[in-house]
Amino acid sequence: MQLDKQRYQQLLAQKSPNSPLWRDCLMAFLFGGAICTVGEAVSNFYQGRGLETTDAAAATAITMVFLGALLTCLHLYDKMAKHAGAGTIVPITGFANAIVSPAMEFKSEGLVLGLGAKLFVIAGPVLVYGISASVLYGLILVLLGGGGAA
Amino acid sequence: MIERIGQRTLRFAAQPYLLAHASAVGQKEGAGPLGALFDYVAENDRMGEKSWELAESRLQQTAIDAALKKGNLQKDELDVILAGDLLNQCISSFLASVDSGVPYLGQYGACSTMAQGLALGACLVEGGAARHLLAAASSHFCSAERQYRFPLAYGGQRTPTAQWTATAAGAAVLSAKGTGRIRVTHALFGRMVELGVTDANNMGAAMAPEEVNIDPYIPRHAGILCLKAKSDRPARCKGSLFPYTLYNWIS
Repeated sequence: MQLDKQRYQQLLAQKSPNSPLWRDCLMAFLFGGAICTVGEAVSNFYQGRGLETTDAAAATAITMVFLGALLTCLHLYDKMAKHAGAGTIVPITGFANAIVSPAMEFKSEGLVLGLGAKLFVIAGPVLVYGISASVLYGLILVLLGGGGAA
Repeated sequence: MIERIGQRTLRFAAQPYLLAHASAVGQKEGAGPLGALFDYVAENDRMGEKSWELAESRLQQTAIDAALKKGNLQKDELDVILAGDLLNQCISSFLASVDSGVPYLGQYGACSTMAQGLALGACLVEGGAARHLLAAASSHFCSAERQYRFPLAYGGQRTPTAQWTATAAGAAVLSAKGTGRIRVTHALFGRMVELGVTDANNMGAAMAPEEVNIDPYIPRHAGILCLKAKSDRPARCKGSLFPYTLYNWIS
């Protein structure tokens, strides 16, 4: 049997089981929704204690990042993510996980060249392109005369 | 003497002995269906070491020591160690043998490292370059994940085609003299076949294609290869399925 790249890719696509899309979506919805519900509860708690809406949002983000980092350290976040998929990656807790997990992994290579250098190995691209995009859109906004009174 | 027969097959006249072999595996592998067959099952995959790489090195060392013990050999009786793993600089293999005082030849063949070590080792023994030598290979799930994929605590979801790198080490002693039934009779170095699989998690799909040129043997009886007759066409199996095995078969 002669196999070229194209035919092999076809064979692979044919034989490989697909991800269970509906199940993945449902789990992502349930887990992601649960995380957001916790976030909402935390936000309500802060607002109930007298914080302004914007301050409460910042405090909620800090709390959720802390919880994500804590669960990552306890190796619970990855166990949860196995089932949750996008449900645990998309919320801000997923960002905490993407920072803390390399920190844990590369600590053994030293604090500077290990932990320090590898800390953003997963989140790096998000930061680079996220910040670049925000700068770009900011410039466009300024050039078009928008952006409100400065 | 090594004789080249057919297109790519090496036939060993003296047929080096596989004097002893041993395996050491991690917890998960020990709990699997082959669990009882391994010589050593680690209680903890970290093996009490500071890093996963050191743990893998310790695992390989354990397999090497067990193989030597089974073969009634001391380390200084070895003429060379052929060992490899999946990591940069084959660091686990290097660390496992750095204190052995035996010449070390690092191997890298990914999944074929053990077979490569045995085939090259058989050539060295057959050619008289070594009287006893040891071939070893190891991998560790945690060190491989870290090098090739994501940190362990990262919350990623595996695809249905994702595979698991075994936490395991194996070692085998090849010897010019010995007793025992397992001997190396032939070796056949494979050609690389690359069919464009780029998914780092789907190792099986990358490894499955093979081009087996077993000339001058052809599959004749169920599961057994025979020397082909003059009238036979060259035996050439290309594709992903090759159900035949050639075991201690002497012409």
